[in-house]
Amino acid sequence: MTTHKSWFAIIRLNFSDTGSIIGVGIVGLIVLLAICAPLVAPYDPYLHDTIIRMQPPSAEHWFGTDQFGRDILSRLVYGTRISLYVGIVSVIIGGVIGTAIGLAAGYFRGWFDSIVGWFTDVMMSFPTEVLAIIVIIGLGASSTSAVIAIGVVFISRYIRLIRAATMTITSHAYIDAVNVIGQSHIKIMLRHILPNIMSDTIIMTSLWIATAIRTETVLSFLGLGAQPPEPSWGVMIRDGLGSLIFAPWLAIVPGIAIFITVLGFNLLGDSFRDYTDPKLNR
Amino acid sequence: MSDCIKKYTFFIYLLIIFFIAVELMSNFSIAFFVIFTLLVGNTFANSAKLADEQKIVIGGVGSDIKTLDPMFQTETMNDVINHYIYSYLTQSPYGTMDFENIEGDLADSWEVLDDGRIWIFKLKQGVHFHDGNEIFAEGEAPELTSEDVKYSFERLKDPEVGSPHAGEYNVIDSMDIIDRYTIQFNLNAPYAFFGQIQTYDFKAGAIISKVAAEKMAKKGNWGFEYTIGTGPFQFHEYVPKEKVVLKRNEDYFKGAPILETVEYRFMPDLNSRTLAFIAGDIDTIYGVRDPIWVKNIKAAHHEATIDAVPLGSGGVLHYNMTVKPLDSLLVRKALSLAICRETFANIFGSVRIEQTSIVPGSYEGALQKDQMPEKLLYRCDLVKAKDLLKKAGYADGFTIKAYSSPRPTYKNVYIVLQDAWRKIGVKFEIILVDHTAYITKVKSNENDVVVYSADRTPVADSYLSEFWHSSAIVGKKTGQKNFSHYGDVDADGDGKIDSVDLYIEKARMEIDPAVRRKLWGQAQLQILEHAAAKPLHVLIKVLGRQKWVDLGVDFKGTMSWTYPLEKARILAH
Amino acid sequence: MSGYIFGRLLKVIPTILFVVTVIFFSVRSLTGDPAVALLGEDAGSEAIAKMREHFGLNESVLVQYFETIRNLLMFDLGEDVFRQLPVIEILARPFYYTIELTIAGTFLGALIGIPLGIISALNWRNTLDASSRLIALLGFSFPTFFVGIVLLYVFAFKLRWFPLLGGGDYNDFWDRMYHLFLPALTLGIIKASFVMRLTRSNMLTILQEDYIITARSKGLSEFIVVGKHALRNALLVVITMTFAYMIFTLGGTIALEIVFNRPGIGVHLVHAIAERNYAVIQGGLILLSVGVVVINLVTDILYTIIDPRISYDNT
Repeated sequence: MTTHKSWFAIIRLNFSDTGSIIGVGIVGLIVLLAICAPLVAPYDPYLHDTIIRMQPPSAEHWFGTDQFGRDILSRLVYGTRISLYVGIVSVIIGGVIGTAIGLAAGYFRGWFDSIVGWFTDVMMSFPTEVLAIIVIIGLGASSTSAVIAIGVVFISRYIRLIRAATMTITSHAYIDAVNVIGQSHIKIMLRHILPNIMSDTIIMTSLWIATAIRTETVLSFLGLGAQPPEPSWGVMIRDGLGSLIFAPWLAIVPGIAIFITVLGFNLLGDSFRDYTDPKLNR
Repeated sequence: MSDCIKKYTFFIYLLIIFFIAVELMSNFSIAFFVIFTLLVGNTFANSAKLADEQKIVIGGVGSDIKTLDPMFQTETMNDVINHYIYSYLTQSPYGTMDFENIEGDLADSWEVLDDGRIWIFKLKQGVHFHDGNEIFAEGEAPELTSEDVKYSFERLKDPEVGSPHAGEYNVIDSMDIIDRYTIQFNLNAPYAFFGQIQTYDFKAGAIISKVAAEKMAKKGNWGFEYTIGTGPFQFHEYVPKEKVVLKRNEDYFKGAPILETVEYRFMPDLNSRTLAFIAGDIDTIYGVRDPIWVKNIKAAHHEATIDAVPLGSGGVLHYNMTVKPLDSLLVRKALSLAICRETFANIFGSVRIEQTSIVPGSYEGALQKDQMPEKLLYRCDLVKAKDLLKKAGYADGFTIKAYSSPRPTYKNVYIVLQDAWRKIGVKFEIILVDHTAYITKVKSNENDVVVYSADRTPVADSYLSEFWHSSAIVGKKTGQKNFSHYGDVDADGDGKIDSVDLYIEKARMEIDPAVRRKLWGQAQLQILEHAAAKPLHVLIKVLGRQKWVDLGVDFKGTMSWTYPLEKARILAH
Repeated sequence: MSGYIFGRLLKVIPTILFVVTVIFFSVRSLTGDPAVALLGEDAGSEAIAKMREHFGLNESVLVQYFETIRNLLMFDLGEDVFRQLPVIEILARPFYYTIELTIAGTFLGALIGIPLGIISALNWRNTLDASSRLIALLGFSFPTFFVGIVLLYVFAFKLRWFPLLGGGDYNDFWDRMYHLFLPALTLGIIKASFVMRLTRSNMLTILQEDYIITARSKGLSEFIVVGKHALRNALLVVITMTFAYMIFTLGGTIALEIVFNRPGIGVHLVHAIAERNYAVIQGGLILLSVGVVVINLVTDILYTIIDPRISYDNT
């Protein structure tokens, strides 16, 4: 039988696993860097110095300088803020809207559910990038637009997840029992269903934060992400790509930063999942 | 922690082995390549043996073209491809950019009468249009006559057709056909450069076939339905997002080219383009205007030739004088003084020429640096800039914004400006939009400042009319590219509207070149005095070719951003 | 079964109409229009106004909308206004290139992912398991285009084993396959992580089933237990899910197509959006939705094969 552990228990118990230790370590480090960026960054990330443009890594500039002579390490450190902002806020947007709709659809079923089901099918049939491109061109490119675009993409994913989970819960006898007692629908959804599907949601959220950060890079790669002079990693890769052959550090350094961050969130989500997946607990 | 390291040891080893293997293999292949070249390559080096396949692959910019209709060409790639398909009345000598000695392309000779109001062109005889296509069967293409020339310019000017280049030939009042091979252009003003502007591919003066055109159902843009010219190569195939293939025109009136096939590949990604060039997969490449790229590609691929084509685009920063606080002369001066041309010199280096007047220095009638008072050069001076801002009442700075195209020639300049103005406390917001949206925004007057680079007929008039005449103000029905609104606003704060319309109009009618130059000079001085713009630089174009591409000429330049291929051949390699 | 398929196909029509409607109006609300895109930055206001009229952009949006719908109902995707070519002619090859890449990428993903998943499951919670999981996560954590660039650099540029660019000669099957390998491998590496996780969790579930335990207790060799019983059952689910996952891959190859210079549908869509080439954007998205519908349909049929209890003939 499915057991729904409360979500904080997941976090507590998982410190025994190596993967999650690394995951928590990476994510913690990134968050710390984002908060303390001005203390950590050796230079002003916006300051141009065109005399030393595109210099390879050296003692003064550990990761070299970019096409305007800006220090890549400093930009990298400040870039954690944008990546976290895009990753977390977009997932929150998608999560809140998607959970609300998915919960209602899974609980009430009927015509509302059919429409929602059809709508998510349609949304899923749009390629992620194309959907995001249309949203972003409509709003004008910026990291906030990227957040909204990625958020929109995640709405349908959350709807699917939450709807299915809600349906499983509502089929349990105790929900019927609560219903008989005469609690309002809203109360049932918030008090009895939501806490039970929380663990699933949190696992997927940490995985989807990783996906969102990755998607932001792709959007920036297509020229639809953060605006200059914001030091977004995606923008750094995109601008550096042109010189990949002759100045590979420009693209490779932020590429590795993204990789580490995404890996961190993935490890975290993965170990949550492993722990809660009832199939894997023997 | 050690536990964790132990767990992943296997994996770490795997990674290390993989990288070592890759490194070894790549080194081996280089070694093999070197040995191979030593053994085999030397035998053929320097011998002018031709390759079996006379095909050239151009690693081109852009991701696709929208049309091959020469009257609708607006992008570099169109000019380049049409350059091979079509012929023009005149041209600069093959492989040069020599305007002093232009020669006939389709024209055999020409004479100028009435101080430059009347131009009579005699055409070469026996020039035939491309055959073997959907419109003309093999051997059935008609001969090019003065009717075709007349038709070409009429179509260009026809408002029903809607060519974006219609305005550039406003100077043509009417055309008279004298005989089958002679045509007379009656201009509405003396125009000394009428012969020269024909040499510019992007001026769309390509000659098309009247007979073929009459078979076309549509009036406007013909897209890929019409691709018939008289040039050295004829259209063969178009694969969207992939390539345009041209085949040799066996009946080319200057003699069939040696090259059989010209393939223009769309390669928007610079890396793939550069890699392909170094690897020898493409024969010529469009470079980037970046000295570091030029330096590196020379180092990485020293057998290739990299040419800097001094056909440049002048880049000027325009202030929109209708928005606050850019309506203040002091503020504009402060902004101009905050920008250091040296920064651009560091960024663009060898591919940049300093520009100090609003008309690029190489243009007829442009003010040269030594003709300008020191203060109008607006050399960077941050202290003075801050001082002026304080005087204007903006000691704490202000915010201005601009939309930018993602194309580096725009974006990078805006980013440099952003940093320059940050130093005097001015916040400059850049909003990147795609190129189509950028054009729309700029033309609907939504930018506070506009950086614009343009290639024009090298006469001051072309720049002044398009950017500074009051009829060209953006937003007007006749609007062109007057982004500063000069001519409609009070630029120096004396309560009167300032304009250079009179100078421009007088110069157009003036026959004496010295007087003309003086009028143009006065217009330029006045605009600079009012700090309506800051001239930045001229960026030149970069092309590269493999050592086996023999252009058949000592290449000195080209009017189109591509190599001339009429006499080119591919050597064995 | 055929009744079911027909029913499903009927349901597709409102979906596609919805897609077209959303696209139609959102694309037309973008800044800039085809006239600006065609005439470029140097054109004057008059020329642009003229061209707008020429393109029929001055007509009301609703008139244009019904015109589009009417054409669609007659299976006409319209014409590319710039190139004067039918949209279907422009998009046929790209669609093929994209499908080719999707299928090959998924196939390679399965080829890498399934063995990794099996190894991982059989070595549950030991070093091999951790390593293969990490390998899978690595692939999952790099942006697609980044993997593409690295592969391109190593195998095409440094080693020269594979061609650098393009989709290959369309009429030459082997040349196409040759050009396909690297992009497909990139996609495969990314997909492999998904397939690996799927295989692993399915194998783990099945290995706990009673019949496997019975088989083991009967003293059958581990090879037969795993190979004959567990693997077969696990693979059916994995293959079906992997197939279903192709709907995400189908449109998700844009960045990869750009890196490898493959003229696929994603590249066409991105550029059509940049050009405000309305008919091509609509046509491209319709083709993609049709692809998604077909994949979903086949997935459902595959499920009936896995689980015979599901029957569609009654619905």
